[in-house]
Amino acid sequence: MLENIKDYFRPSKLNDAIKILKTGKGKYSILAGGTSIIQYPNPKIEGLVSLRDLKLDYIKKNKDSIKIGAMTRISELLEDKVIKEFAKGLIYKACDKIGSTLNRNLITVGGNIVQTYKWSDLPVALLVLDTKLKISGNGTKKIPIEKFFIKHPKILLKNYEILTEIEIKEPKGNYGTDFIKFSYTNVDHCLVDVAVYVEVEKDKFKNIKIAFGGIMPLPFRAYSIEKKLKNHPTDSILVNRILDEEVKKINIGEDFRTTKDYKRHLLKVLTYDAIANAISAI
Amino acid sequence: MKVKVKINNELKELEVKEGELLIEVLRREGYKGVKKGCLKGECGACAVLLNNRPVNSCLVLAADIDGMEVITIEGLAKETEPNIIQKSFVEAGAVQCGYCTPGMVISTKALLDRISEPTDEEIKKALDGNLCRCTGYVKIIDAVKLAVNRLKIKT
Repeated sequence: MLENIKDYFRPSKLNDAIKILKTGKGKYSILAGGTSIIQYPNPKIEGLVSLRDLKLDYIKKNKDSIKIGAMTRISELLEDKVIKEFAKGLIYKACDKIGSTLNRNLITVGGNIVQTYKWSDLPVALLVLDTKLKISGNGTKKIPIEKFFIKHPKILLKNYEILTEIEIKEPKGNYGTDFIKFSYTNVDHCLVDVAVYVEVEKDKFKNIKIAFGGIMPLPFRAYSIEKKLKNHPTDSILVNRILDEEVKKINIGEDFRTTKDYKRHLLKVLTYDAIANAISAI
Repeated sequence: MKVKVKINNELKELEVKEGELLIEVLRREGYKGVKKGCLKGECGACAVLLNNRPVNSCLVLAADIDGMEVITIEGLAKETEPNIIQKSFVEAGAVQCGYCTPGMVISTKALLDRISEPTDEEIKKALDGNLCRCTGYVKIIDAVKLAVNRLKIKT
């Protein structure tokens, strides 16, 4: 029972949802999949605005991109044939690691991005792709995912703004990707998430994007490692040497489940594995 | 507030509080097969089918299910005639204390409705949100396989 909830709304138009959220003046919250709101209730929230009737539940494949409605459930992504193949299965791999079957049927794409717990898996994969987030409030704006995660989404977004859609450009040419989640059990929150996107030309990294999750409160791109590896030979000894040096510099947050040293070790080993897997996937 | 919902094929109009959870409403209405476990979406004891998908009813707001269909363990069979999955769980020795069983059966039902002959991996994946502290899962997986064979014979 969410004792503080006194109001419930289910508008059928996006503009109505925004209007209702505005009248709440910070005391109303969006209700999407519901898993976060119910597991971690916020005593300040007195009303919920359900997005169920806004028809934001879709996966649309365009010529060179894919659009996913924010209310699409993680399990629906996993059942979609396009998602299974998209970006060499990167999104599928990340979604497959989110929670349990029972919860993947509830968790929405938008919720997994906006709630952004330290252990959210999907944003890590999206960070290495060309992803834009469509936000509606006073008008509509599209924010590249790298800029979205500069601040926590709950601070970045105004209390009446709604993430309605994500748009991901389909990578072209010779590229590979991989996503690795490390956790104590299959359904546990991750200790470390690593996502990698690589393009290789003449045994050198033509382009490389690496993102980490589970390390700090927000997922982030490992720009320093990417910079060192770009135009660098893909030779395993050299890659290992760079990772050795660069992973030492990464700031690792507290986690009561394990030590920072162990996470650092995982980060190095898993990044190496993810790069190797991504290259094999080309 | 009032919600109209189909529970086990019966249309119902229920009075619910805005902050009430589906598990609380179902148990109040007499569907005691929906078990209270962790109330955090981690154990699967409260699993029900919501529009044919298995979910933890402790993570669903009752107000939000207006117009939807819920199937609880009580909706799978008559009291005097358990369904094939339930019988298979009993016969395979997959029931010990029994607390997780309704959730396990609901998840199995959802799996077998989707995939008639699942692999071991698919069975484990489908039941990954249902915790059992007695059996060690071996008998539960056996029970699902037994149900698969029985359903094959039936069809």
